[in-house]
Amino acid sequence: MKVNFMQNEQLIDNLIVLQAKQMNVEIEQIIRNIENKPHSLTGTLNDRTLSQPTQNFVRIYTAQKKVFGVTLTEEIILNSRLYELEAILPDNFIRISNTEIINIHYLDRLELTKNGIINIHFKNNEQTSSSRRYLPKIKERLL
Amino acid sequence: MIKKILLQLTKGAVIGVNAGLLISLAFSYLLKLNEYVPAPPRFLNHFHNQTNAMLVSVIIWAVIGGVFSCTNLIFSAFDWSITKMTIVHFGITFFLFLQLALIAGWFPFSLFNISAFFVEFGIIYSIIWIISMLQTKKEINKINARLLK
Repeated sequence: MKVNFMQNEQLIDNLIVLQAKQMNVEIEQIIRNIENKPHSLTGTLNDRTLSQPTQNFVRIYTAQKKVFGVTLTEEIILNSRLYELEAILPDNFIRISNTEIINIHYLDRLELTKNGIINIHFKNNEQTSSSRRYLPKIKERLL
Repeated sequence: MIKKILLQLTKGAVIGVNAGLLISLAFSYLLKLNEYVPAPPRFLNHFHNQTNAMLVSVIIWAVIGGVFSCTNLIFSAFDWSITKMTIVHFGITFFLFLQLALIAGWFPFSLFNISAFFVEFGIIYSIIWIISMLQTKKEINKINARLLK
């Protein structure tokens, strides 16, 4: 399948056009993927509403009943609940604890502490922790 | 969650009864007894007839199996460190298992027996802790190797 990108400055909203001889399962799947996976997440930062491309998020976590989305540059408060995000985010986002989902694209390395906690180091030097039961899923997604 | 606990309880109870039966059968042979006994005499003496003794033994085996398989759920419900999980699991299982072992008359109630039981349990859990740590370390190394690519 050929993929073309065409810039069009006249467009008000971005538009994806898919051309095919015939509708088939593969095309249906692509459409479903494009429609269902959110390409940006909306949240607030200092009472200002803003939107960030989904793939810019390093990690998303809950604290004090709020959901925070951390990107390389800022941290915004997201409007959705964590379990809702877990259901709609692309496959490279995985749950690593009761309170957190991470983007494995930013994963640098894992480390086991003496107590048996798993420390997760990100490429931007951030850190978080996970427990043993999430390891199989992380491994599976990295394949 | 309740369904999960009930399923786990049933599975554990079935395993417990089977294990209890096999172990008591093995002991009856090892001690070269003329008749099968489900438990030591100090337990059997509480009962007037054998059928009741057998019934209560089966119940105890089922409860022991249920306790063990349900405490396993601890490992799958919290984001605890391996150390914390092992200690909590040890605490709960030791306490409950001790009660049941005393009821079943596996050993007479004495400080020495209970201490020995505690030490045995502690050794088993230390081994479990070491194996868990090594397994996790191995998994992490695999994941890290994949991340380096």
